[in-house]
Amino acid sequence: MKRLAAGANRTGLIIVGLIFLVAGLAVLALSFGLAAAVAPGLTPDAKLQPVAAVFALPFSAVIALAAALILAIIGVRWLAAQVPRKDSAKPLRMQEDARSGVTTVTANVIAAAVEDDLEDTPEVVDAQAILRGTARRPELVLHVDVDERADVDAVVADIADRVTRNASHALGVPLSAVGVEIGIARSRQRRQRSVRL
Amino acid sequence: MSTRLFRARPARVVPAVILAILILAIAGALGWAAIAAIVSEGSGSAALSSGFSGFAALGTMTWAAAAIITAGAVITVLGLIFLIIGISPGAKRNIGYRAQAPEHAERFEVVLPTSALSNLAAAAADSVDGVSSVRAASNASSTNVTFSTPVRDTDEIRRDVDAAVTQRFASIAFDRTPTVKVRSQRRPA
Repeated sequence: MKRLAAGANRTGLIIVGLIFLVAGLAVLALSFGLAAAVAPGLTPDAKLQPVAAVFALPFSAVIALAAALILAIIGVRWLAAQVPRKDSAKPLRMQEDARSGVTTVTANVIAAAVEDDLEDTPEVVDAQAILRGTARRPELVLHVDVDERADVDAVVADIADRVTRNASHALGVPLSAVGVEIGIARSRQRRQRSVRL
Repeated sequence: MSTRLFRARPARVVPAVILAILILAIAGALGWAAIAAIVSEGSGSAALSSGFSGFAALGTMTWAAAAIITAGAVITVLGLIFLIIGISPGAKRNIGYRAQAPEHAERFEVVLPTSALSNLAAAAADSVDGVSSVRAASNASSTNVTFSTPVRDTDEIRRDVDAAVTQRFASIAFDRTPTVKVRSQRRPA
């Protein structure tokens, strides 16, 4: 339920994939003599001297260093973007009029209360909640792990009726969206469910 | 706002991490060659080829050299793989669930990941008498259950497992109830 950089990943993969594909195909076209029709000098038995000459130009080391730095920054930023983000709401401003005082509630406080409320539902083993959006349009994203033998419909009904109502009462507004992801907690061993006589 | 609250398709994190590390490796190699060239020449106007003799060797190769063809083929294949991974949407990981929005929420969305479906099926199959171990694998529309049993005649147990898993799925208000396929594996006791 945490957010991942799916859009950036796909865009990056497509851009790099296209660059690699075009570069690879160009090299293969030169190697198999297909480029000779377009550029007469570029036959398969031509040497790569023009390419090597580029690296022998003055100041090419400094330019390569700058290119390496840019590539390194792109690589590090792309790696950093892979860390899943909660994207919790900014502290909610609950007051009517800021001149008479300010009331702020952090999203984590509400989320922790919702988690406790969720764990009161029978058969819910573990729960995580994230509050997103604003004080006027709050969004609740929930993940509940229920017991493998639980009545899933009853758990969903309890969340819909009780948990979302409590959260909505606490915030004083209807929730704009509620998302529930249900996981199933397996009892690891049969021994845990059995009794030794 | 009509975007879904849960991403149903993979975010391609692993290929992105691999590619980011590849970019960092290229940056490292290029930076190392550049610094070696600047240090060996002792001036900022150094040519890149003065730090690394491989560039001179490159100049003596022809386009038809095996190494160049191999490099071209590898780069083409890698590019094609990255492009396909980026464009193809990937398998759906969430199964929709029919849920009515309660009065105090405008939208109410419930999903079960395919892993939850597998666990549900495995738990249901595990409760059948005669089953010694269960594996279950799911996609968004079906579940494959493989159980092992020491019993010689597996047909009856397979029917029971199928019934148990089908009944468990039927008790849950899925958008589309996943189909169940059961296979047995005989394991000597």
